[in-house]
Amino acid sequence: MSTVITHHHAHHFYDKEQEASSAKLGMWLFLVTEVLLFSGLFVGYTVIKTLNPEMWKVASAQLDWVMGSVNTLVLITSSWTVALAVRAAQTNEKGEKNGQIVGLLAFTIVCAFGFLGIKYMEYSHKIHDGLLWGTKYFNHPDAIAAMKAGIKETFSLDVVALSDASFLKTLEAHTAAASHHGHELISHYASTVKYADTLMTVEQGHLFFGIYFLLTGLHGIHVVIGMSVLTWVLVLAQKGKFYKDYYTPVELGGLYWHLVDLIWIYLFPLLYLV
Amino acid sequence: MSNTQADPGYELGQKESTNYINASKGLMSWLFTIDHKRIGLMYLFTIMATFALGGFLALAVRLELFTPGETIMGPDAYNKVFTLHGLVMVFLFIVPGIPAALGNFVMPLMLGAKDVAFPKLNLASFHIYVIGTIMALYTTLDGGVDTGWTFYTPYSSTIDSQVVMMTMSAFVLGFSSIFTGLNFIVTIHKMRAPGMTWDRLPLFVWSLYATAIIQVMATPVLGITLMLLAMERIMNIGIFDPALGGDPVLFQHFFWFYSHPAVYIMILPGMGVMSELITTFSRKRIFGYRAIALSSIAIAVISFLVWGHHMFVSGQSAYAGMVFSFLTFLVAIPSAIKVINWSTTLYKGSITMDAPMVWAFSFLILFTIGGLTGIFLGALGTDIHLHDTYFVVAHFHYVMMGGTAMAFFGGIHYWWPKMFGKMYKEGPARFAAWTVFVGFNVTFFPQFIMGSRGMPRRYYDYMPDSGYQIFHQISTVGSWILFVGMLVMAVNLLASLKSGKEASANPWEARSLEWLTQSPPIEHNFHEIPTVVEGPYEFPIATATANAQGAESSDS
Repeated sequence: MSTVITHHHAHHFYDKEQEASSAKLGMWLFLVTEVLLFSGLFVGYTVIKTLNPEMWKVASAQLDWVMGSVNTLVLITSSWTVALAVRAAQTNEKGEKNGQIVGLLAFTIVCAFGFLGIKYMEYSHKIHDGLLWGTKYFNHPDAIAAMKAGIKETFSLDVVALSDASFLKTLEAHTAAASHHGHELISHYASTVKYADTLMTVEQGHLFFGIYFLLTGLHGIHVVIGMSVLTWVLVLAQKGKFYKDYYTPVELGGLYWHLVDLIWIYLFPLLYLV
Repeated sequence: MSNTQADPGYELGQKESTNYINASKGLMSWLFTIDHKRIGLMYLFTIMATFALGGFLALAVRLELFTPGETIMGPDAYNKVFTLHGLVMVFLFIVPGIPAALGNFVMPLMLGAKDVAFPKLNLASFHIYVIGTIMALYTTLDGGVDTGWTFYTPYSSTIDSQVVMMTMSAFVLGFSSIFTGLNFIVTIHKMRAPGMTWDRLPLFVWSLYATAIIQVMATPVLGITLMLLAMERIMNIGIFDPALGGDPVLFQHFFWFYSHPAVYIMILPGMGVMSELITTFSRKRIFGYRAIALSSIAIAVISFLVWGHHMFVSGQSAYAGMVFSFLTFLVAIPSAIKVINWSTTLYKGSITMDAPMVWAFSFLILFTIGGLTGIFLGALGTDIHLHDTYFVVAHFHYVMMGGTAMAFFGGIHYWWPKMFGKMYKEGPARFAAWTVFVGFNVTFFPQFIMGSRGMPRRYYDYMPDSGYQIFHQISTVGSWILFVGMLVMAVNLLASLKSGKEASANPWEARSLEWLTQSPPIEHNFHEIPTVVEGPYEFPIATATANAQGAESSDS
């Protein structure tokens, strides 16, 4: 592994510098498009959270912040090792650092697998509890129970299901009383409205999980793409392709991986902590 | 040809037997080429085929509206036909149109480069475009969609039709557009020949640069929007559904955040072509080079801030409406800078009315009408009256077809000799251009009038005694005149491939670099990378000789 294959630039460039700086600019532009792709989901996040603040508070508390924190650490570590891999390629004089580049890239890819493993555990827990997207999938006894418990904890309110016969009777009685006697039962009526609000909170928990799965799912796809790119770079590094005059694929793969990390750095607080 | 030191042979009319067209043979040598010129040609023919498809759909729409009630198709078929017309014309024809076809061919030549920065990405962009096109056509055969090209929720998220497949097709086409834009930005930054400073870039290149910025920055938002719509239908996530706690107007915000900048993706390259045509056929240096160049960038920036003017009646706040209206008026400034500079370039020029210039004049007149009627729609009060009427239809056809399509055809005629090394017949070319100009006005001007009288857009039917029929009929007759013009143009151009006169390296005596290499160019564009010593529009001061030459070429 001490060989260096000298790189020749493509015919339409004047020299290697022009080729490398073109590739780097292209990559940065591509990263811009990636950020803008996610931006739509971030706007969706903001709008749905603003429209349903109580629901958001209760639903986001269902996420496991410990697992989220561990995953954040895993990704930050992987960002560090990929940066070291780029550095090793930049300072690779006679091919003596090929093994180092390969090792650092391999460690980064292992971190990515770790991230996906933890994400898999989180996902299966949510699927088990029925904490999913859309009313069709969210309408699960465990999901409803989890949301109700969350509401009791967050707002000190008991939630009664609309299908509960005694609750319906109370609601009807309050409504009838209010229409007959006017103002004197207004406080009872107000408490009924509060019940109805919390019921909405329970039912609309699916919106939070819709956003959660879209954001983390799209991010997960990017993790997988990043892993594939880094694996390809690793294979080339194994062949001794990268040295101080040519390391563009390592650098671009590293840039992409930093973006994948950076998006998670935003997702973690926005979904788990806010 | 004093502006460069390269390839003096071409000035003397010497030609090599091999060029990019005959350098290699066989279908595969085209389908998997990474030569920007071949990719440009493949784009050109595919895009013209989609334009023909969209055109036939438009003819069907116009024919249906000739009489009240059913003329040739029922209401469901009508809804699908006008939707498909919009989708084909927007996503398959006009968005990729000038950049991917003309830009791909000409831009590296104009820069004095051997190719775009990423030739393989360029080919990938074409392949993705073809895949997206096939998906769209397949969806059409598989039942089609009737949502209009805007896919507004909640209709698009609830009706039973092929919305998911169609949005995925637009999603795929978006990648093609992003790749072209990304490639062009890097090419313009990194691949310029020595001496080709930003001050010496042809204005077509400047406009492609501004376009590429919008392609790169707006298209991903369309991608995520269409993906959310698909998720809404497949996974029932409810983000656009008020019954589930979502917000249908959010879709409109997302959609127009892309689609308003996208109309500048459509018009900016057309403006770039205009700058080339006007200056070449006036034989005069362009007036206000820097103002035209920077106004493209200004349009690109402002284009991101005006999307709300599509939503004046969608329930956004009155305050937001005022801000969006103000910002919309701002776009008029850079647009007017361009029109005024082109007009000033014409002033005292030695104008020849060759076919490309006829198209350029059409643009100048039609785009001005289209732009000014946009002000009616950007004003809050008048928009409430004109919103969703034929006035809107007429306005954007004046800008998109009267603007972009005219520039596209002008550009095709201008660079045709360079692309194929053949001259088309000038007489039929001018006849076609004038016929299209007349047919266009007959088709779309009546739509302003009936729109201002309240005829809603997209409607299948109208009352026999409502007074709209005469306008619909004039408009339909106009569409037939348009068709004749287009047909003459197509036949004339295609015939030139077979029997056209050989074109010289620089038949228009233009000054930019693409005219320095032979027609058609050699495989790698230039034998030696040219060194640029002056700007692209350094025409000699108009003299008697120049006038005589102009008269001669217009007689041919």
